[in-house]
Amino acid sequence: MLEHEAESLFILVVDDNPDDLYLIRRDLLALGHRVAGVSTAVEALDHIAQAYPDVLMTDVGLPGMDGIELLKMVRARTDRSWIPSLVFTGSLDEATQMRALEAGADAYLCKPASREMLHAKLGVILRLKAMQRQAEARNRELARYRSLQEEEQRLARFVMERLINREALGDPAVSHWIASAAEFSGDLIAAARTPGNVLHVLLADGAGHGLAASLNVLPVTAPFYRMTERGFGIDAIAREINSKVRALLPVDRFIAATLVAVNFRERYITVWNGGNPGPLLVRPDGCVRLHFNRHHFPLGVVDDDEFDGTVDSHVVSPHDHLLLFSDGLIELEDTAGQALGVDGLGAALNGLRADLRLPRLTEIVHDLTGGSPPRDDISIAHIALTDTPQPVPAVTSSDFPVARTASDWRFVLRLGAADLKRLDAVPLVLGAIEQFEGVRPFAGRLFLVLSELFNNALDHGLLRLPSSLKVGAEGMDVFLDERARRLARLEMGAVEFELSLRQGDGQPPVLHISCADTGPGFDHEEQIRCAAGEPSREDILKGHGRGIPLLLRVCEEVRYSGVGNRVDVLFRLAEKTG
Amino acid sequence: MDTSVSTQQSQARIQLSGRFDFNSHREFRDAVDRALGSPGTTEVAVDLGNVAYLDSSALGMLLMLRDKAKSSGKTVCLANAKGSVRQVLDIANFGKLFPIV
Repeated sequence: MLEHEAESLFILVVDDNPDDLYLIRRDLLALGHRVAGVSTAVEALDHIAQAYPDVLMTDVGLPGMDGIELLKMVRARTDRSWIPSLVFTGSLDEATQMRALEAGADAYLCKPASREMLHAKLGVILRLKAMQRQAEARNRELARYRSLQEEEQRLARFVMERLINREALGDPAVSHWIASAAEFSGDLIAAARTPGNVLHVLLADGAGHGLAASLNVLPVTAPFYRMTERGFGIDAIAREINSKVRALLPVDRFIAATLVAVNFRERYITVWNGGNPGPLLVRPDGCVRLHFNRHHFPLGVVDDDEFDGTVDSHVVSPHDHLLLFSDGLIELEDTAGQALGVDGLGAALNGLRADLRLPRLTEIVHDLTGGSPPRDDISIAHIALTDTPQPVPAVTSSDFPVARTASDWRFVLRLGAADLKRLDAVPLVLGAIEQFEGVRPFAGRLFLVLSELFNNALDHGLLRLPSSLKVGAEGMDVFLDERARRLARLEMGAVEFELSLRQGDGQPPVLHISCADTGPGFDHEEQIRCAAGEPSREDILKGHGRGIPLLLRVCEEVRYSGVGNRVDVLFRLAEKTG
Repeated sequence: MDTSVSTQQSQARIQLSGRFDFNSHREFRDAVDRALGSPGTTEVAVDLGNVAYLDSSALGMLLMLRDKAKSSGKTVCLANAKGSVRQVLDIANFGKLFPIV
């Protein structure tokens, strides 16, 4: 049995000859269909306006508007929903058949037609109708998918923009530009400062591009911001992100990333680069001064025990800029298939003032891509290494000072040589003590104090680095290299922090911080004897290159003891006056 | 990208040519399955000599191959990488993950 035989159709028949109309109606009814019969085109249009038939059958010759005109009208009025149509005439005239087919007839039938022929022709129309239904269903499904996908993309974009770029890219030292190969970028740039005003910049490039690559880079932002806020170094941050990516993403997904720390006060930068082209240090005249070329694995490729957090440090001039970029930039090809390359990039920057570089690079990208989206995501960050005066970090709560606290605690942390190599001591200590009542508003200042104490204890106490190393143009480079070398070799020794809270009498409480190292110390007695009269704290500190005025600005008292390997400071949990 | 797999003694060689990028995913996976599936091989060499371009997705596929090979006790090496292809491998420090011959 033919499939369509089971289906009962509603058929509108237009024929001005009552005998023909009677015969066709009889045959169609006999075939199991329902029939409405009219004798003019106008009546047919009225009928269609009320209810769409499943099939329209019309004679060509009709009084007034003929059957072919009728078909055209029906086509024009029902453009959204197709009514299959069948034209019948008594003539076998080819021109008429052509006109009918051109007007949109789906089948043509000569009168008189046998019931079998009628059935066969309707079969053709039914097959067309079935195909049309299928197509419509698919279209509806596609439209549904499309709107679903658009909604999901809208949501994804919303979340991604907040997760990735946040407000942190408002950092005055960083200008940036990202061009995406697809709607979503697999590249991201993030920037934030530690409590000690060290600028951290991250440029990450997830494998592939589009939404999938964009998802790849998600695990990197949260640790970057959280750990920077707490003052961890970029090596620790890179290590943490590596573990996250390794745990979260499949083996073929990884992230090329460059992490940079800019220490404005000491005027040096450190770079950790895994899988991105090395950053460029650019002089004020646009000439490339240095190309950082150490390549680690991209993040997420190796397990934690194989991870290498070695950073490169380099002293910079405040007039220099650092340029970070993803490989999409240097892989751009000209029409001859020649890639831009690092050399091409250097040539493009040469002679360019700092503020003209990013615009020039976007221009180059535009020229090389002809304005269409690039083949790979491209991201560029241009960092000004300008020295900015370091503000004393603000107290971050309105409800200070805490006049009285029931807190009664003492916190001791001792780190031996192995842990000193691996851990960031200051965020560790700060993370613990800021849990105590009244401490958190002062986290920024305490970070500075703890950093100074710790750096002095480690650099001078344990590593025995003389401050004189820092002197001269290459001094800081020498110092940093020597520091890295000695730290790697450190086998003995420890740094110990002890912190406790002293209640003041009606005064805000005071934090007593002591930091001691197991180094041989220095002869502070001798220093004091040599100094004429009562030495100021500043003299002592300067004399040994052991401190900075900032420490004195935020602490009530700074005192050396033992053989000079122990420092005690008092830090009042109150906005310092004067 | 075009792939072909040949076996010589204990080494299966995957020869790639053209652009090795995210569009080559299926071809490469098929080639990997054939190479790792051929009996008696202990090493898979990926010949990059005729690869004109290689992107980060391709690096991901190489990591996938390394993973699969490791779990079936086989080793992977990369052969004939030169020019920009070699550069991309170097930037990602892949020389430490694969012998590059």
